[in-house]
Amino acid sequence: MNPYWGKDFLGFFFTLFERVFLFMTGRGDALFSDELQLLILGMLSLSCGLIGAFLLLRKMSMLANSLSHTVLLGIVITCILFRFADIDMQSIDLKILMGAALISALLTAGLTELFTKLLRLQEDASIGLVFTGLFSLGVILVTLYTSNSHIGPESVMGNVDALHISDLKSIFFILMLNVAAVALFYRQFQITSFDPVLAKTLGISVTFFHYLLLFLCSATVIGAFRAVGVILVLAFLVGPFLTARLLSHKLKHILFLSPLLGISASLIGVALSRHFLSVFNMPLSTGSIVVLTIAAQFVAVLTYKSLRKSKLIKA
Amino acid sequence: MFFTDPIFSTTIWASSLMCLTAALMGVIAFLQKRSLIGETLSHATYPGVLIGGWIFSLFFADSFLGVILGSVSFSTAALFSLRYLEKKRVSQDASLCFVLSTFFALGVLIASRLQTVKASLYQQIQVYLFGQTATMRDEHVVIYAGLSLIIGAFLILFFPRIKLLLFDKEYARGKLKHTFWNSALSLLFIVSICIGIRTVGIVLMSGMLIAPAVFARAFTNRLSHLFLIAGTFGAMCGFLGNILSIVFSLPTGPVIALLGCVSAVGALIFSPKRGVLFRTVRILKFRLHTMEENLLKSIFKKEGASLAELNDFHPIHPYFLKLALTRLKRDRFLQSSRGIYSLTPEGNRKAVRIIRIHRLWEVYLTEFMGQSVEKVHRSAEEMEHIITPEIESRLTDLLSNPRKDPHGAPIPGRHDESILG
Repeated sequence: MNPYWGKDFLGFFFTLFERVFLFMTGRGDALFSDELQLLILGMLSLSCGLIGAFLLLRKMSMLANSLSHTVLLGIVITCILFRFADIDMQSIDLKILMGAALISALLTAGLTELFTKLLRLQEDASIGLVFTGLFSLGVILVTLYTSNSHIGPESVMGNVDALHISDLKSIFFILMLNVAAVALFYRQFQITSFDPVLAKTLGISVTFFHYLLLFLCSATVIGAFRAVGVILVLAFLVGPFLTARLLSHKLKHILFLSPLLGISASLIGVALSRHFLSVFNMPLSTGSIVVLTIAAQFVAVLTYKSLRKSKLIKA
Repeated sequence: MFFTDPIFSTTIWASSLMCLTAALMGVIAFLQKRSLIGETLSHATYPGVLIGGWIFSLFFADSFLGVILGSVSFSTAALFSLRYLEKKRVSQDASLCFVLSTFFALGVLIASRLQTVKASLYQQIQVYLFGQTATMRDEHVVIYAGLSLIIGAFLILFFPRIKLLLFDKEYARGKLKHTFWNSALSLLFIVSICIGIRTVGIVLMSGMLIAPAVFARAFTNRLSHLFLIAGTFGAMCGFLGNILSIVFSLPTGPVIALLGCVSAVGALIFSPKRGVLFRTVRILKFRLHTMEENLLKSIFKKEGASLAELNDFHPIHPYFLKLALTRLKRDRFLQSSRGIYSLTPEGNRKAVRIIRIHRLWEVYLTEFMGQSVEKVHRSAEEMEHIITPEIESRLTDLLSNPRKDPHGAPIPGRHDESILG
């Protein structure tokens, strides 16, 4: 029996504290769906907050948008390469995940660069051309390969309620990957983002870290694939950073703030979703509530800042 | 059989017309270098499609008009949000991404509610995600076709103004009702997106905005031709995409988008004017030409040379060296006996002319451009292959037919066959 059943917004948090306490004291039992969602969304926000900052500092967010579309093709190709009889989107194991992330990052970034440099196409058009082409190829291949026309919409929308304990494993793995990369290469990422010329003189390969970041991004998008879908994950990448950017100008603070904002949005979102289900008997998509919470955070901070600027609120 | 089948015929034509409209508006976005805005605006229609459809379904049997109204209003709202964020100095790529996913999230939220309240309507509306042509009814076809024609007519009627807006912003800002026309274009852009999502789908709509423009740009520099080619190409993609999607029972949107993207890339590679293939061929031809002239020069200076000697002097792949030498022999500039290449009288004249141009250019650079003597050689090495006889005679006149170059070496006369010290 799910202890969150019938709880409203505040009740959700009380129950959550109670359960956390039980876990801390070693009396916890199985994870319930709300907790699973919370963990997955929280880890996702943490991953996205870390790499989102670097993506945005390099003005690569539309490339992230491309990746979010092209991971579908990456997954399909990897599945075909690994000769699986059918593509089972229910569980994406780590092997497929890493392969797909690598393939989609290389394909997307490589082709976009090829189009701008070799074919001399303006950048916005090459980005658009590459991801729509690869995504439609992905959808067509999935349809042909699985004769299942639902995968397309599912990949776009995501479904938190269908999450499984195995998703927790893959998202944890991705989180560790992101944390390790950012912790190990923090300085390299920082220098290549802010001063590519300095990076070159210091002997840091800008291209390598560009692709590393893209790889991390596509791995994260794939991790988010089942939970929130490939489009909503963009808000996890971009939103908390924009809010944090309003609050601070220091990279370290932003790297701390944006995961925090994302995690708090996940908490509020899951609680709100539970609240709507309990009080109004309305099952709503949790992922979208979290994204709207992220947007609300941004709007709230922005309003606060503008009010302070116009001296309506005293600092 | 698809042409005569009554179910498919009208819908396919309407669908082609919808793609045509999207292609035309896509050209405008492409020229403004704002192609990706279509991606955001099309995703932002999702909540509008759902809400509009839902509200209208409460009052009417057919929720179709609501879908159009809803999508237009939400897309417009997204455009205003983008403008607002721009004012707040959020960088453009970030705001595009953020608005896109926030609006889409709103759509997903509404969809999750609609799914439980009105499952049948939800199923109907989901086709807007990836597009579907076959389920369009006659009255839909009429409205979509009508809207497409209105947009097309607007573009034709006001073509000169649009041209001004696109290419002479400063003038347009002063003289014309700049804001009015810009808003009109934005509205038409949005309407074309809202029409197009029925057949290409929300997720892939931006492909149909971008691909025709890219395709057309590969062939022409003129705005009118750009519109014509992009429009025709868009309509053809819509038409073929529909037929292919029926034949292979695939979702319509991805097939149309893939068709568009693949042909656009094809055009970028193979187009005669701007395509990468012909450009590469032109570049390689020029390189070969340069190589040949350099070979003539070195054979002239050495008064005959073997292949090995030449390769020492020109460290390139022997294959290319042989190719260049064969071509020179074919053009009767070279002759060879026992492995030693020497110049024919014609080759001799050509070599002398190249050296003459080289030294003339050096004189020009030092006397007219104020370059120091040590620096001029490199530039002359390049110009000697480019300067035409007309420029040569102009240079001779300008420099009053000099006899010595800046390094003190003699410059041969125009008809000389050798260089006399």
